[in-house]
Amino acid sequence: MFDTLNSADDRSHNLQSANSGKQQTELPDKLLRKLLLVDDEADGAEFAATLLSAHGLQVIVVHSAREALHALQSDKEIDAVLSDVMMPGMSGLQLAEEIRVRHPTVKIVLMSGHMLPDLLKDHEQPYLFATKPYRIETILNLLHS
Amino acid sequence: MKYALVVENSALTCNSTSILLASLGYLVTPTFNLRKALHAVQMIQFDLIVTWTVVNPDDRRALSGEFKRHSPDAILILVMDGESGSVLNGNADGIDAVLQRPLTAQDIKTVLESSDNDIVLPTLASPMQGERRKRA
Repeated sequence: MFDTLNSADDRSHNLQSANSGKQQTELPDKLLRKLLLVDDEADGAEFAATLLSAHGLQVIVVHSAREALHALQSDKEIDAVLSDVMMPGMSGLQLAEEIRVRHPTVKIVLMSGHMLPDLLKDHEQPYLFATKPYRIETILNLLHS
Repeated sequence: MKYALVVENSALTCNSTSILLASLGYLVTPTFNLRKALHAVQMIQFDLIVTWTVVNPDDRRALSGEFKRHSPDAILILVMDGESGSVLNGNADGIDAVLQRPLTAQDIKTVLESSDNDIVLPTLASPMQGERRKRA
């Protein structure tokens, strides 16, 4: 029988899997557990959060860099941030730089459908990057790299 | 792990299609909302997309073409009700297979097991023939 998991706030985004119980045990304890997903595109973020949750991650979704910084400040259990680059206001790149200063232990993965990864290499410490649309495995591999 | 997007027009069909794909080992994200489905493929690459329509609510490009553009490796299945062959409307870019309801696991398996060079439209002939008969 399958399990059903509800995404953040939309029942139509249920996730059903014959093996979701098995998936919950895929991640060893030492790996990250709580992920902050930052994307101003709410629908896509909810789908991504639902699929990533099926791999044992606790996923918190916010829709701006400001919200992300607030979440990181209030929740010290967040291990990693997966953020879109192109967002109104503070960009994902600016957010990543802020996180490196304020929360240096938090892992950062940036994603974009528009930006070339080469642009991220100009930084002293290049950021992990995924091109949208991405495969879920790609994100998991980057998060656990 | 493989990922499937199910785009359906009712809770009943959404649930039954999702259960069917889950039984085949897919992680399934169902939705009724076509715009949300488009947003999903703009974010995530799926392995399988099952949709009840190819009509894009936002522009003249076929929904199926948009799905395929964002998830080029995905197998794209159009599910049709009865003799609704006209739903294709000559604008079904990217569709790999057309199946009629009720879907069965064997139908899906047949499509999944077909190679890229052997794209199948298992049940398309039937509704199209029905249309021709009506016109005659």
